[in-house]
Amino acid sequence: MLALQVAASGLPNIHFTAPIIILTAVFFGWNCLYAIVVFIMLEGLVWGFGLWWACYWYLWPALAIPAIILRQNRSALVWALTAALHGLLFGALYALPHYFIGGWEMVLAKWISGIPFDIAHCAGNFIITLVLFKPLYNAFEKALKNIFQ
Amino acid sequence: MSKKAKIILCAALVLLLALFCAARLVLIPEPVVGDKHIVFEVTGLEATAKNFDIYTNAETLGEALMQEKLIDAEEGPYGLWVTAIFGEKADDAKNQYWMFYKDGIELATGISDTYIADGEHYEARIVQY
Repeated sequence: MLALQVAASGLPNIHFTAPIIILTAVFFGWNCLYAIVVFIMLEGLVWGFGLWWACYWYLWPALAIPAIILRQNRSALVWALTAALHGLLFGALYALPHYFIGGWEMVLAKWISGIPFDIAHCAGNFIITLVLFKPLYNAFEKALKNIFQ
Repeated sequence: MSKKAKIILCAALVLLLALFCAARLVLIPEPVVGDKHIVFEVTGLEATAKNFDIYTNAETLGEALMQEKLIDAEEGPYGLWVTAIFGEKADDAKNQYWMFYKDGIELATGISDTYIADGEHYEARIVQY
C-alpha cells in the first residue's frame, strides 16, 4: 500500500491505494483494519503528521468498512464504483474537520476548491480498480495459496 | 450483487458527480470586473485601527493591497503571504501573523484568491498562536 502510494505520489490524486485496500478487505475481512493502521502510521512517518494524517484515521476506514461488508462480491465493476465513490467523497470528508478551524465557510471553501481533484480521484480510482481488480485478485489468491500451502 | 443494485450504484455515482460539478460552478466565487471602493481596516499590536479607503479595479484583495503599496508580501505556493502591513511586521519568532477578515469573519481563502466587490469591508489584525 505504502510503496504504491509513494510511487504514484507525483500523479494528481491517482494512486493504487483503493484497489489494494479493497483486495485486503476481500481476502482478510475485518483483519484488513490492522493493515490500514500500519499504512496510516507509515504514511505519517514518510510525509509528516499533519491534519491530513489525522483525517486518514477515518478516511481509509470509510473505504475499508464498506469493502469488508461487501467482501463476498467479485464484480470488478462494483469495486470500481465503490472506489470511485470513495474518491469523489474523499475531499468532502477531508474538509469536515476544518469546521473547528474556520467554521462551515472553511469547510465549503476546502471542499469546493478541491472538487477538480475529487473528480480526478474518482476517475482514477474507477479506471485503476476496474482494470486491476481481476489480475490483482488472482495474484493475491496465488500468493496466499503459496504462503499457506 | 444484483443488476438492479449495480444500476443504483452507477446512478448514485453519476448523480454525485453532477452535484459536485454543479456545486463547483455555482459556489465558486467569480471575479468582479470594473471600479470598486473597499474599506480596509488595519489593527496592529498597538490596537489602534487605521482605515484605508481603496479605489481600485483590481479583482482580488491581494492585488488591490499590493497596488496601494499597503502590504509587504512574499509569493508562496498558496499565493501571497503577508509579512507586513503599512510597515508593521508580524514577528514569526513570536508566532505572530496577519489574519484577514471580511465583515468580522476570518477569510476562508488567501488574499490572492479573495475576489473583492464594491462596498466591501476588510480587516487585518496581528494575531498570535
